[in-house]
Amino acid sequence: MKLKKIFLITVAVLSVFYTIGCWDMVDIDKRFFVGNIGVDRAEDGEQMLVTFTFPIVRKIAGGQGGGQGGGGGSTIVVISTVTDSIHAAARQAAMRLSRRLFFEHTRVILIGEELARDGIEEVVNFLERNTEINRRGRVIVVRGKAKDALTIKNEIEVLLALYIANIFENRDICARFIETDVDEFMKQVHSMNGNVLLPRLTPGKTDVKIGGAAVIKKYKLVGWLEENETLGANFVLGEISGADIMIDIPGYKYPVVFTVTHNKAAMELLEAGDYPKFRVKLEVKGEIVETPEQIQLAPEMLKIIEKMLEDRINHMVLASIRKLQEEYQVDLLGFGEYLSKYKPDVWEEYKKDWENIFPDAEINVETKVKIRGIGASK
Amino acid sequence: MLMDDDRISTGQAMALVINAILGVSLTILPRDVAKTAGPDCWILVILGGVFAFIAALIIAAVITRFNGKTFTEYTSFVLGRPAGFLAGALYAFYFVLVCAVVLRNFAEVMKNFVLETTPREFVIITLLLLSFYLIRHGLEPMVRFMVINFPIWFITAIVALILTLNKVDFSELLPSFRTPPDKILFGSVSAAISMAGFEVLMVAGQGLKTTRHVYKIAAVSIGIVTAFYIYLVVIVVSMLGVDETRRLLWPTFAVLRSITVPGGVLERIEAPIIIVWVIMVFTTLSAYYFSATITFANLFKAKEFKIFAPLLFPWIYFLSMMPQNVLELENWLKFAGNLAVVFGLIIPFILLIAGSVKARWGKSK
Amino acid sequence: MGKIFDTLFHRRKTEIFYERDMAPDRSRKLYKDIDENIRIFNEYLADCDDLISREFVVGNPGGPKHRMALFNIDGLVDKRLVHEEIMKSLMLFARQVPLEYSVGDKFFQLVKDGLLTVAEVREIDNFGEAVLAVLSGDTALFIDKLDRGLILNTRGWEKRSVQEPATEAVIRGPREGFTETYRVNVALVRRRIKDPNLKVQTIRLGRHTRTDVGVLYIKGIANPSIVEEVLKRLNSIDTSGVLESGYIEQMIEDNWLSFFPQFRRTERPDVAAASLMEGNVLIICDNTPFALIAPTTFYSLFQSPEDYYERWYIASLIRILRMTAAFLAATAPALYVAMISFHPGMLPTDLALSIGATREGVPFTTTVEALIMMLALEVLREAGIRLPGPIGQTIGIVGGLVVGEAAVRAGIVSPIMVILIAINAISSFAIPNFSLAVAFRLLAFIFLFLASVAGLYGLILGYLGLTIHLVTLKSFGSNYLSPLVSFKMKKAWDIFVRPPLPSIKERPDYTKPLDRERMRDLRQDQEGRGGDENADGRR
Repeated sequence: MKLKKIFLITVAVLSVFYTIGCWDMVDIDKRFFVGNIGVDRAEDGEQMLVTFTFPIVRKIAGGQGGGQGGGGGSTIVVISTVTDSIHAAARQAAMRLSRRLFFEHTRVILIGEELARDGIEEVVNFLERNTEINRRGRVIVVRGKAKDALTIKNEIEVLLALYIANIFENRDICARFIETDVDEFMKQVHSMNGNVLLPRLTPGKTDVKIGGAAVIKKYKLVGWLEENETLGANFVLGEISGADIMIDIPGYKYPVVFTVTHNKAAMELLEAGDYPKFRVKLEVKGEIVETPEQIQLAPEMLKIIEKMLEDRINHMVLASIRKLQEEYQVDLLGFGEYLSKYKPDVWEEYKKDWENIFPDAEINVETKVKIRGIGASK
Repeated sequence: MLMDDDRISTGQAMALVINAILGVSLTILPRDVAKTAGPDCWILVILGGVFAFIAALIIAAVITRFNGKTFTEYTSFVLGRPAGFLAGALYAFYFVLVCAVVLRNFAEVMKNFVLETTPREFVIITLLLLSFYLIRHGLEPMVRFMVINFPIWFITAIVALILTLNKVDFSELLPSFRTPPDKILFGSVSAAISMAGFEVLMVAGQGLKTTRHVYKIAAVSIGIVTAFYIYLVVIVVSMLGVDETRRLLWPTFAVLRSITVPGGVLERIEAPIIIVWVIMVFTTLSAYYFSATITFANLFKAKEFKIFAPLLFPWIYFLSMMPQNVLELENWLKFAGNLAVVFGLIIPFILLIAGSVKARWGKSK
Repeated sequence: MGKIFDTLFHRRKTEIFYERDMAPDRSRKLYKDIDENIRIFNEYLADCDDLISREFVVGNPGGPKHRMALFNIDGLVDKRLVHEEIMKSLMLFARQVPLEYSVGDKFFQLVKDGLLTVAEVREIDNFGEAVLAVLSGDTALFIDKLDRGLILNTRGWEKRSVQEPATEAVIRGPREGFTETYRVNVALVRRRIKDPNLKVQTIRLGRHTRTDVGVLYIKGIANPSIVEEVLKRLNSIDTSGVLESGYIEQMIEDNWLSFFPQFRRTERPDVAAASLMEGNVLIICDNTPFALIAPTTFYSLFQSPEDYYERWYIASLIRILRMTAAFLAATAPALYVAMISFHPGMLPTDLALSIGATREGVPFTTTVEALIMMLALEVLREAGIRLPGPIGQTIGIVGGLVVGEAAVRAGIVSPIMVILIAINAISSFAIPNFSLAVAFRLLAFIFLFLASVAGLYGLILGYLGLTIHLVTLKSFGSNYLSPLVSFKMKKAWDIFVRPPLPSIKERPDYTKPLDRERMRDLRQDQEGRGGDENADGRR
């Protein structure tokens, strides 16, 4: 009896399961792994031009004749479509594709300059609501069109997305761009009312360059920070673990090259009058990696170089702060955040009108450089 | 009703309570507390823990006072038969409602993060069926099941939260102590609601081997849960920031989405971790499902509590399918939370007072 | 529990068995007349051509003569014993017996006590016992004018000698294994436990086979309630034949619907002895080298005897390895399908792409692909077992290398699937207990099905269902998942780690032993006395 009952139940369960089907099952070879999403303003100035790229798996994998195929054509498919939303674009593209677009491996979200100037709310909302996109993907603003960056003939890496995404790994030796991911971007854009620094990408013919920063104010791109200015901003953000600074020494042809290995930034509120007065204290440690051939380093010499470096960094940092204060009038280096966290009483007063107060805030920079190494020669 | 050998020890009772508490509420707790108190959210959790502990103490006192009696027996003893019956019925309905809300919330998370196109019905029915399979074995096997699975999800949860440590920024929890006290007080009630689950012991208390350590059960289980919640809230808020935490529906899982596994073995780990979370949901569901069943069994003085499990099955299912969408589900959750205050604090308190009054009155007579 | 027994046995008992009426009857007493005895005995064993019956006359030339009859079965007796120790003694030495002893009971007593130089002599008074004894290889001796007979132990047949067990080979440890002979097996255990508390209770099971089944336990350690339960269940078996301990296992296990073995079976006397000392009950069945150990737990099935002979680091590592293997054996294909078809986002991008590339052109879905390979593997394994050794290897090569490689080349399956199924199969071989390995292989199919319906969620449903089943499963009143069911961390540790021997001071809980203490730690006393000189000799 019991056996019969169990048998019946099993058969019933099995048949029910299989007749209603396996809803989510899409085999791995029935998906296109979208690596990049590019968002541009379409020609008509209203809609968006959304570009997806994904690899042709058959061609990139080494085995089974794929190797020869690699030479034949591009391994990357670029497909663009014009719509009002990114999600709709993916569905529209489905009309032209044999397989399902799959976003869990998306590494790079590129925003075209034109669209960024109009506002990036759509991108932000898409990224937040969507559960498929990787929260560790990179959000980048492209100088020019995002599509141009996605159609480059890149030979370095098989995967364009990995190529672009992995450039960010070099941040620890060259801090001349902003490093951020979807997670960080979401956090900042929401806590700072749409003010955020994004990395900037400049497309070339066969490669791209990530350098500098896009200044987003109230969800709109208002301008750029050039590479040196970005470096200066990064000093304040305290996020440098590798960057070269060169100082010219009068009378010599080649400069002294100093590599920053550690950097600590601390803010301090000096005065809270009508306009606040800040001091940014930087503690920079690093090594000298190149000097003019004729120079022999001595302790006194190092002191002088340290002093010169301090001046140089002060200058650089101040320049980027000035630019943000005067040209863009947006607080992206965390002065407001600092006040809200550590001086909440002061912040209460400034909070409402911070946009107008910040440009007039007085900000000093005080740098302390410590040379920790000089390489293998004196 | 429970068989004689179907009794649980003190340690097992702790496992039962912890498993009943930790479930779906941990997915939304960070949002709730961040919404009311911003950077002070952790204070809410601590205070919530204190409130939950007080409620648990009252329940523990009730259980100790009516040692060995079933829920219906002592409510009808204290409040009189009709009122006792009514109270029992209300409790049973409350447990059924919690089951439904838990299931639906679970289905929503699955729909969003793991199985996008699989219908909610499938997810709900399969889990409910399994829960049914578990509880019909009785209290002790159910708790044994919880004990066995305890390390699995506990270790997974801790490891997952440790993996987030390189991304956290504790300055997000600043400035501290700037939330007005009234907000803190109200907020901590909602935090306390997310620690509802101890009331399961009111009906499962009859299965305790000894009621001597009920206070210990209350202290340890609420303590562990509070510690876990504080840890969770601190990590989530300091990783996402207050504003982002407020906006996200399930901030806990958003945190999981940005974890990297060392060694690059897995690209994304939210799916596997949510799958482990299924165990937690399952134990919560089973605890409440069992409580509902046993309450009904007590009400009708049934010999076998099992027969009520299939009877409740469709009700839980239909209730869980009633909310239209997530936002409506939120309201249901709030409603269930308010009920938790009634059933976890107010009624036990009345029972305790009325019980002691009656006892004194009986003595003086 | 009782329910299962009812369904299994109760109904059968009510039926009338024609066989039973034919069976020798203990109530049929021997007669004084030897001719009558011979006739009836021959009637019992009529048409049994392997019966040897011999009538002869004994007595000194002057004195009274005694007619005697001797019965045994050809091939079951040791001919030499019968010739030398029975026939010779009776025929030659009986002549020298003084006259006063050579009549009636006195003569019988003399034959029994003084003439037969056979070690085991038993007196009987009915035909039932006589027939059974003869069929078991003993020799029955009837003497004229006496209503009693003698059973002489002359058992001796062709048997396998004690060899190394095939299924439980070890690198370190004794090479002896049980054989097909009950007595030898009991002796192998007895040789390891020279304790009068080692009790052996033999019962005979099977209406036709009359198989000797021994229940062994150590009095004072084993819980009497478990011993009683085992005996009760054994006695409730009423079946036509017990040919292997598997028959017993399936008839008295707690849950016959479960995939999981509820007995631990062993071919090794050292394992048997070790389990006896943990408070288990050992069931030894005649005609099979496999003994059963009850009660058992899920985790003890993962143990190999070597675990306790090797150093504990190694043993612990291997134990964890086995657990991993078991996990893979049950879930590897299912996990793969879940990841590939449902959650490719979990995989690192490079890996996802390369797997996707290998699957290009494979016509089936991943599930079907996995199913094909798993079935192919099961068939190969089955074919390999049946075929004689040298051909079996050919099967391995043809099946594994040729077919696998060709299937990949033909694009029917992807190479990764071949790797995966190979891992899956090898993992299942790493589980020490064969029945458990089979259970895990079965689970692999179920998990595969669940994963193909709902991906990881299906897997976790399977896991939950499995855990619920295991949690509620009992083996003779002990929790199958013991010691994980309680909060005893110290005991739970033993699952994944084989603790150093000096730290295993107690017997495991699941057997509910009467005497908990396994070892008294004398080293602590020494430490007090020995002091410094021993300090670096010890950890």
